[in-house]
Amino acid sequence: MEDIMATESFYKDLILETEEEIQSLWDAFEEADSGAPGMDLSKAHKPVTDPEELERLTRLD
Amino acid sequence: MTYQIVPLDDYLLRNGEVKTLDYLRGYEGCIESDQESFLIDKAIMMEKKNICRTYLAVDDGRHILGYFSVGLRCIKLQESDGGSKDFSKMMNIDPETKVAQSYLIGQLSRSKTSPKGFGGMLMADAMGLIRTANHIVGCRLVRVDCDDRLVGYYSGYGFRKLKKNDLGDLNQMAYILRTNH
Repeated sequence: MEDIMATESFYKDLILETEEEIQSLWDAFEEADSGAPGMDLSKAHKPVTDPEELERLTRLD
Repeated sequence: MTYQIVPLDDYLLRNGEVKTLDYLRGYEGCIESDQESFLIDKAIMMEKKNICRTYLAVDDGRHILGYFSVGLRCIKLQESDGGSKDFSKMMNIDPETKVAQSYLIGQLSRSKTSPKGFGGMLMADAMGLIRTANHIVGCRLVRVDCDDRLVGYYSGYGFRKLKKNDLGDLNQMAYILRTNH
């Protein structure tokens, strides 16, 4: 299910127009600052930087 | 699961556009959508125009297991309450224009051959990159846009729905990076 997102997003800014929309964003900040745990990023992969490994992986010949 | 994250830009630098595009054509997303067309039709153009950055998840055999694209977009608060002092500071909003910045995960896709749950791993990888950017330049707001079927999925990662887009077909969601201070 995690495969669909909008390419159009890259071309459009987000405009919050109503009090309710802005309150939702405010609530998101308050939740984040309340000590609620965030996403677990401990196993996140970093992009390859080793030159030899990068060359091996990107060689398309 | 063993895989590496490789910037699309590195493929372009090494192989040029034609060979890289041939490579991308071999990708098959697990759900038929515009994901494949993004990778084939837009990813290289958007990379060259610096609109976003695309990262491929590849295995040792150089098969593409998935990919994600991240970029920056502005966010504007039109309602007058958005100009409150506390909120402006918290969001780093320009008090005159009421414009702030956000990171955007604009694409995220796993391949047909990737295991179930791999999308979550890609999400963590994308957020890890954004966390690194946050350490360098700040900004805590991360956006995704998704259709109705995925609201629950992204809510499970801590995203909060803010509104529907103008066409009403996408939910615009936000996640706030945690901070240590």
